[in-house]
Amino acid sequence: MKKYGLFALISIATLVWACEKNSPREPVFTGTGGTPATGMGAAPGTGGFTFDGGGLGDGGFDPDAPVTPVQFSKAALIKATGDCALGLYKQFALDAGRLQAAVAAYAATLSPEDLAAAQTAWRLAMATWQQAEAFLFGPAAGSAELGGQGLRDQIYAFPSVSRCQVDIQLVNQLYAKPEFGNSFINARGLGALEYLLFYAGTTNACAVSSEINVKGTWAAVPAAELPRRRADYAAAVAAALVPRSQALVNAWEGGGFKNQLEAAGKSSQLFTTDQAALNAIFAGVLPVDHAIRHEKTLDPLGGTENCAQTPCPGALESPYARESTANIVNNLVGLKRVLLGCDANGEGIGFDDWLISVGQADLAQQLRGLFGNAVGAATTLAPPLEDAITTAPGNVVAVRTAVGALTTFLKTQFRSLLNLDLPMSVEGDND
Amino acid sequence: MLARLREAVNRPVDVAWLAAFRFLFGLIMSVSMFRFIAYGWIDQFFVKPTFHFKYWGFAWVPAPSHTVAHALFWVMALLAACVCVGAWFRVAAPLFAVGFAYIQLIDATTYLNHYYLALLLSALLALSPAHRAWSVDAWRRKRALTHVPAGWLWLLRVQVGIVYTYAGLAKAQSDWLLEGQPLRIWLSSLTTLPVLGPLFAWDPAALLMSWAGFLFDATIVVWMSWRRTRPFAYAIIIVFHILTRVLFPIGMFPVIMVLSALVFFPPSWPRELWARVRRRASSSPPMPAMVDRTWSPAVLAFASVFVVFQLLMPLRHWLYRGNVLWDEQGMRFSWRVMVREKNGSVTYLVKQTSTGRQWEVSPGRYLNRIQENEMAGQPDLILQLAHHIERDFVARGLGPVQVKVEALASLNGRPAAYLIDPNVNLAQTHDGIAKAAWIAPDPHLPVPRLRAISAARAP
Repeated sequence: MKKYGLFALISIATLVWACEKNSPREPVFTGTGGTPATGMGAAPGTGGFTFDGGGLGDGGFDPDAPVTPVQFSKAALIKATGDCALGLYKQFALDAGRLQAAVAAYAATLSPEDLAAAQTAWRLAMATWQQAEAFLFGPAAGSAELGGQGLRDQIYAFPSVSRCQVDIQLVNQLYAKPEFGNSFINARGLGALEYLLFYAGTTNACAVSSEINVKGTWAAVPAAELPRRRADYAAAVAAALVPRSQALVNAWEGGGFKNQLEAAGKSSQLFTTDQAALNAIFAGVLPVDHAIRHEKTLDPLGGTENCAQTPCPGALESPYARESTANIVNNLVGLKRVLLGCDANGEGIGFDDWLISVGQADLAQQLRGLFGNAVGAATTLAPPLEDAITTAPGNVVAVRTAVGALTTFLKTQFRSLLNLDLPMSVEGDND
Repeated sequence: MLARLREAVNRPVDVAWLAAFRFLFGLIMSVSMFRFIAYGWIDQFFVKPTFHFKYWGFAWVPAPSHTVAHALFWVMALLAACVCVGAWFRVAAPLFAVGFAYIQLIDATTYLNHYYLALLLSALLALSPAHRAWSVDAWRRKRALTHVPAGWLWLLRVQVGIVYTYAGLAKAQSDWLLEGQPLRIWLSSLTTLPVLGPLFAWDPAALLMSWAGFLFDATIVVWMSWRRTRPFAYAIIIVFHILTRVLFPIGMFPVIMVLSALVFFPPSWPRELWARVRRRASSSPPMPAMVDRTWSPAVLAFASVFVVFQLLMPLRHWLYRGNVLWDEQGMRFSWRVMVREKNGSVTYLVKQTSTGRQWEVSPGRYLNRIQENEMAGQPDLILQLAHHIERDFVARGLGPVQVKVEALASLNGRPAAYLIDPNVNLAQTHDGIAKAAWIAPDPHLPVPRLRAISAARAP
């Protein structure tokens, strides 16, 4: 009895002391993170949040650069990540609007100048979206995820992109019909748009045995008519992107996901703890990481289950725009924004600051080093992926290796130390 | 000796404890089945996966179709309800135990210690005369038992005692007692919880709680067995399990343990409790000289074998001489509850032996996210998927193939290390109960010193 009484007294005293000592409910910790993002001038319609370099490029990331101390707390990390995701979505909504205008202008004139402008607008929008791919949580994620609405696939369904399906719809002109908005996602969005804006050939991407080739419906379309149809199709796709991109922003703002996220562990219905929100954020970085190592690099190298051919140019993500390398770099920049901080230089509050706050500064530095290697390998990939898969496959393998090292770290020690679990995972008692 | 043992197990004890246990266990199991139905776990765990991991020796167990799986859980909920009220118990209880065993055998990634405990308890209950009092069956027959052989009480006490004691012994290792791991990892993610959170930010909290957990598990049976300490010990059990339920996603485990610990009370506890509720004196039935339905030598032999098996099974890891938390040989069915935080990254490398052509295969091609997560830290499951991948490639006309794996894992926050020898062709490696040479040895890396996020620290 005395033993238990003593134990209870010590426990209660400890509890009271601890509660009084840390009276602010949210612990605040000073880690080393970074200075506020540079170049964050307020652009119209972005809620005061834009991305340095217009959402493009690497921003000169130096993994060894000294970082400025920032105040770390989980709530601050959640808020910063949410702001970053929403900022990217807003940026993309702007980009989508510009893209629509540019493509519409091209469809009106079919002039090479307007085509070039539309292509530039696509590149900018794609660059922003590739960074947003690292934020696959909340409304962008699939409906099985917390707060998921599957909106990502409505904008960019990669790897579900079917150039053959685009050609089929080019023939049947589905893009001109009201039901186009609900047609196959693999023939809409940014993937289809790349094919429509950058491919000018007269052949189609379907097998010889496909219906449009067997029945001759493709051949029946005059070659001179193809640019017209492609431009109209592209205009329809670009026009559909605007409400989709706005829907994503609305789901965060009017739909309340941002509030749910920031209220994690307080009044949030979706995230009962702040850890649950961080779990969701972490789970959202894994798909793009997987895509970089598999669909974006391994499949184009060929000899895979998805493509037996070696190399396999048909598996490249953006072969016509020759943006496959830039896509990977932007994916990594997006990952960096999530994990190291929203500034493109890897500063601002991030998961590295969390590591530092729990006494793992070495691992934070290791994380930055792994990012440095991966971004460096992707940025310096020469020649570009479209050529490298044929002329320098070893360089592509080097990118995969560098990203793989990052993946392994994230999925093992990083995840363990921060106790990042799968959202909605099974209840367990064995670990 | 044997005669004294027979005499002891056949000593009459009040049936009240067994009837109450049956009622509560059936109720909890029924709720548990409805949780599966309500939370969509039936499809998630048993229907949607295209590949199921099997326990060694049970690869033949088929997965149910969508219709069968859903029907099964409704039937199981009904059977558990029958157990609860003691209706058609002799049919319902064995069927529930068999059905529960089947559910466990469908996919090894769903293994949980408390499911295993529930299976054992349901089997013991099915064999017992738990329906002979305070039940629909007794009411229908208009005849009820007042006493049962003490052997049933001791059997359940031994079973529950084994769970607690071995869970305590599993914590008698350096990670738990010296590093406070993995509790330190888990608590450091809970520092923003109301009330308790700030306590977890206190650096010694993880180690103190680790020791408290170890002492609780290892000694609670002693305190529950001693009349003077029993009420306090049970109060601590309740507090302990409520705390674990609040802090960790461990499902029905706390409820099952709080229920199970009731077996340490005197067998008449339900009558006494009921009398207190009614503010009347307890009236136990008169003790008979001989109890109805005594344990035969065959029942005694079965019970003895069961107990010996339960005592030895959790100790089998000593035969493997490795770190059971790393190689997992002897991990399951050993009551190693919440002693590891393990995460892994797995990629298979398949090579066609005739052409040398290679494929890199992601587990996600065959598994859902939860399966992949569970598999990544368990070598025997990684091996199983390797075999499945080999069969798949052969079936597609790409065989024969070698299957190797890049499997790295982090145990309790350590740096990732190879869990499986990357040079071994797993297609030619067979699982078994012998020491697995294909599992890479524990590299014995130091545990990173994790500190909880605190408001007190400055730059």
